[in-house]
Amino acid sequence: MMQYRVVKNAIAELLFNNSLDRFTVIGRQLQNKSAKEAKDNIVQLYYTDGNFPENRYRPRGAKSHDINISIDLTTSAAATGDLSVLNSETATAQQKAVAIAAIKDATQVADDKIDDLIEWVFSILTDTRNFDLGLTPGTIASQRIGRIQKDTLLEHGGLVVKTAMIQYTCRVSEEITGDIGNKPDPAVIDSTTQYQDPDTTTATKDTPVGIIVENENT
Amino acid sequence: MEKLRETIERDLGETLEGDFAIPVQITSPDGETQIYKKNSTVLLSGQVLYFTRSETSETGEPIVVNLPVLTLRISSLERIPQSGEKWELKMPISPVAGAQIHNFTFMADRSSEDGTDIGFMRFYPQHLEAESSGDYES
Repeated sequence: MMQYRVVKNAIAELLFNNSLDRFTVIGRQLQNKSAKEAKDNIVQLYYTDGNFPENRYRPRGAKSHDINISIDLTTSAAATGDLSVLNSETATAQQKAVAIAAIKDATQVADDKIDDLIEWVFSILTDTRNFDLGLTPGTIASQRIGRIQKDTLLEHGGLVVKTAMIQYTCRVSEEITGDIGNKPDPAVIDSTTQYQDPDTTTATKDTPVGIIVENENT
Repeated sequence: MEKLRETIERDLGETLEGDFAIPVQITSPDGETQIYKKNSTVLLSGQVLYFTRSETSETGEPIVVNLPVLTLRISSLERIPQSGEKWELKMPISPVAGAQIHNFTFMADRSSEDGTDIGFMRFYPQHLEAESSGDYES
């Protein structure tokens, strides 16, 4: 498995283990999310792009891979208010007026919720105890959160949806294992190569003088 | 001879408050609740479109989303919502008979169509929940 997939799974597991029911973690990009689903705070993460730095590239062996993982945060909210007063048959007009004035607009609630979500995810990922994402130390390098972007409100109406994105960047080393079902032939080291005299075109049979390596692919 | 706008307003009233109207109850920022039409014993009602055609921001494909839009006849209102005011609203959560009555809130400044000149106002209610509540029930 390529290392970027290992990293993505590690982040998903790390966030899930630390979510404490505050949000749902999904290890892929959902096509559509209803506003009602998003009320539970959805965190979805996926590999977006990777670079293979030229100055660290070599044709054989492991490849340095700078990966970007997008962590999309989605939440939605309704307006909040003191329903006990607003639904009361005995509440006075003054009490209701106070309750109405104190209603928090859905956009405000959604903004607060997405700020909470950003803080939780950022804190989990940047906690030094999670420096290696639970992987073997050395698996990832130069890990950092490169960017946080909060988007505009998606819809107005019954429920307000708010989204944000955190970009996680790190460097991994991709081991080349060959495609599935296309296993390379094993390397053969032949040390019995015989010397052939160019003048006589006769091979000397008893004195191996060279080594041939076949199927070398590392 | 009746003016054209008056004719339009009367026709509009029949449309908004006719057989398909949904009864609503609104509470002004003063805390005064209006249940009946102005100077009437008929329940205040209006047209509610519960679903709105929209498109996803990610793929652009058309979808239908639950964004209720309430249209009320201005002449039925005891107090006309002013820009910037926050109102409370109670109405059924769906057009199905016996649907649960739910609390909403709306601001009066989102009438982008601005149809007030022919006698109606359009509101975009937000679901209103208890502050400690986590879930919105449908």
